[in-house]
Amino acid sequence: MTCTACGTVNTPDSRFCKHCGVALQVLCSRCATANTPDSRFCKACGTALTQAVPAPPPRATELAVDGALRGKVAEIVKVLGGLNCGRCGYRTCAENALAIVRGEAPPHSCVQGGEEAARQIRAILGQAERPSFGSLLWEQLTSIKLAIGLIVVIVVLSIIGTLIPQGKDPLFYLTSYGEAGTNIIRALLLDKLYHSWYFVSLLVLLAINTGACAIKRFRVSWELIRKPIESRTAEEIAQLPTQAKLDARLFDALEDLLKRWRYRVRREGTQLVAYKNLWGRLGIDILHVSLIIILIGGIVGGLLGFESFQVAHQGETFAVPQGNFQVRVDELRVEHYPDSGQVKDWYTTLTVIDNGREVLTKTIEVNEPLTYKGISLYQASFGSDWLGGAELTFRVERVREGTGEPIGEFTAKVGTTFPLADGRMAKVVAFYPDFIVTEDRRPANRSQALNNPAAFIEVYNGNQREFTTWTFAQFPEFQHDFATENPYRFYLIGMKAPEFTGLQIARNPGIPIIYVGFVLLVFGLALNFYLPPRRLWAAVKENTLYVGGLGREPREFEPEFEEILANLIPASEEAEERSQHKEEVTHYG
Amino acid sequence: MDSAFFFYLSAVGYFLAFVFYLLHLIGSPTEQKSGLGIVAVPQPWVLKQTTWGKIATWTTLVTVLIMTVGMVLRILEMHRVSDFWMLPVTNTYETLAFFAWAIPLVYLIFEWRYKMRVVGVFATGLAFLFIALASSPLLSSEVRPLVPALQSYWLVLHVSFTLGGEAFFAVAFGAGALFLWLQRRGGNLQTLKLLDNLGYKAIALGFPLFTLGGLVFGAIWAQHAWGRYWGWDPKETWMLITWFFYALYLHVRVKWGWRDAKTAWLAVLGFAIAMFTWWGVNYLLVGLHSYAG
Repeated sequence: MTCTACGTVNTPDSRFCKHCGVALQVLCSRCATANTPDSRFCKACGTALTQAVPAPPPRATELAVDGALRGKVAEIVKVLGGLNCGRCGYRTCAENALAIVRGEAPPHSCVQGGEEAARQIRAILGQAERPSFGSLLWEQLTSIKLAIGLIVVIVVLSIIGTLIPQGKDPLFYLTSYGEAGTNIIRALLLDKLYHSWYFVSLLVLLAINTGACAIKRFRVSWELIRKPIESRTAEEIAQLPTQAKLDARLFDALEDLLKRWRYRVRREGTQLVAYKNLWGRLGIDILHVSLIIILIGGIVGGLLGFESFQVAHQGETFAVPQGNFQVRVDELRVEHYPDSGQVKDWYTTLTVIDNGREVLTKTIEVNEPLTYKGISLYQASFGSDWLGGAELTFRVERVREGTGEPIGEFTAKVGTTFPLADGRMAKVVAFYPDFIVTEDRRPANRSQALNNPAAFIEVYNGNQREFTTWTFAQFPEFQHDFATENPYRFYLIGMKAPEFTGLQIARNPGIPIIYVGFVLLVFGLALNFYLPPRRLWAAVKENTLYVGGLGREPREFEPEFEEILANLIPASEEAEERSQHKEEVTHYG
Repeated sequence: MDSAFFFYLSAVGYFLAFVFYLLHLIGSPTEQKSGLGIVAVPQPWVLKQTTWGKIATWTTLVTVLIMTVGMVLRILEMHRVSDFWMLPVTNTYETLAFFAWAIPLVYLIFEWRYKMRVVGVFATGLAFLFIALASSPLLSSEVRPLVPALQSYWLVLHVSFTLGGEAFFAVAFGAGALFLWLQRRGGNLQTLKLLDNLGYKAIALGFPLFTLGGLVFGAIWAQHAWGRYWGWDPKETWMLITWFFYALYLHVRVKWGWRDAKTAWLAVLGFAIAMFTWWGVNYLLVGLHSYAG
């Protein structure tokens, strides 16, 4: 192999000249096959090896503009960036610039450049030095900067809201954060942050921003979907952000491949237009609109709905004033798992009484509410009312010379008395289902659950209080230690309490709106991410096939475009070899 | 043989796959640059084939199948105890196993589609971590009956779709982390471009699933179980924060043209936020969602 620079003869597989170091091979940028330096196309895959893009000749329309305006067109083209993405409705940035100079298109017609470009273009045109308040406002509302800024602020506030427990009573904040901390929290509304005026305002502003962007975007999307796609010349294709130059013999193979990839293909002589999923462009608009609908649903629910909690016992009837009806609790039932004895489900049978008539009876369970007049009753909790009406059973022993002698079992409610054998009376003063001793050494309840049941008993002889004692269900021997002198011992052996059901009662007229929003949200997301719009052009000029395309956004199409090219070359080789076997040839092997 | 046995087995399988992918990663020839700046490697390095890589893929595939058997057994065990037909997504142990099943599955789809194996180190590494944590003595593998609030098919949809979406985010995390590492080592441009694209694709495909599972199904379940679809509970709020973060990723990428290192960092950070929503909220913050254990 002779070096083209110095004429030295090198071995055939040399990559560089041994004398002057100049490359003897040019590696294809796509398949890396070594080609001679003077090759124009890769011998393996047909990719053009030269990087220089031929400058497109000026179009006739451009030349029709007089000298002074031509300078402005050139300046505007520079501002527009030259992506030629076509989202302005013009085929190239140059055409858009020309239309802007002629007043046929507005200065803000470039989608990619946005308001920033529009400002510069206005400056070039020497017009609108002071844009109207309306256009300035619109500019701000549709800016992506505002959206991203709002999201960042909302995220930071949301995090703060999860670090400070929300909606607790003032005492909680005082004990947790001290007086100074509590003052800050109350001043900044950090204890009800998500419902504070500023947080809600930020959400509403984000919704307005989203809506404005959707409107702005939709105008462009609709044009692109509706208008037929015009073919492009080789020069125009060479200016697209995603493009390649191939061997012209690949033209037919490209058409076949695109058809197989479910593109709609239109061929006009040496030019080709292919597209698919154009409707997918509406996905983002639908998605953004759905977010506004969800927020509206939230506001409607917040303004017109209510949430309340009702505790009820069997046989009780309570009123639901918001719906002007009453509800009677017919039956409470707990179902347990047969093996473990754990709670499987809670059931409450409810009857709705409207205007004195029983209109509806339903047994609700967790995840299965009752709904009447738009108001739903949810099974939220279930429990035993240990603090209000516990019924306790004691085994009582009389103590004689240190040993207990059983005298019987007695059942009594808290606050009542029962007689002992010798005319003495025992009074059940208090019952603690979950006994603890507080820091100031007073008895208290830690919870309403039956975790450490304890009873306090007073024994009277006539009107004279003789002694008092504590008894613990879980530690029956405890009283032996601290009450050795007492003539009686009480063992807490049975506890019963009326069961209650906890019902969440809520009406939320925003729910249907929100569910509509959800459906649109999922639909828009699917359309956007699973049906990305594609437009692709091809044209043959001087034995070179120019291929270029546009996706949802200028560079988003790149990976798929490269994949099309990767599949194109083997496909054409197969066609040439008239091979009967269709084998998937990829980069892999 | 119960499901826990198969999960143990899959922990071993993922660890082996992780080692094989690691051997594939470090055993591949690295880029060399000639004196004149012409890249002498015929293909992007990430697309390289090695024997270790092939072994790693098969090991992962077999392990996913072993885990699938384990999942089916777990479903049967749950039915025996609770009398409900549910996916194993009702407590921390089960969700860990589900995630360790979903990540390699999603990863294998990407490997098959994009013909690159280098992200496998992260996919199998994460899966091993999660299934090893589940199988560790810290968590009980015992099948416990379902508490009333969890007896809803919306729960199954909510958790499985959310974790499915997050499995895609895990792949994006792997691609992002590898991108940052390779960039520091001076990987070639085409290699980095392929990883960058893979990370974006993973988030773009995972985001709709995550939205559907986390936001939509979650809200519907909350409405059925608690009578309110949204309550600013810490778990819900962090879920929204995660969602906003990935929405932010998509916006800066598409609208501002951020890519490469910037979006790689965002993909890594996003996954960290998603994991905090899962773990941090359970153990550091309190709320209605405390079904951990």
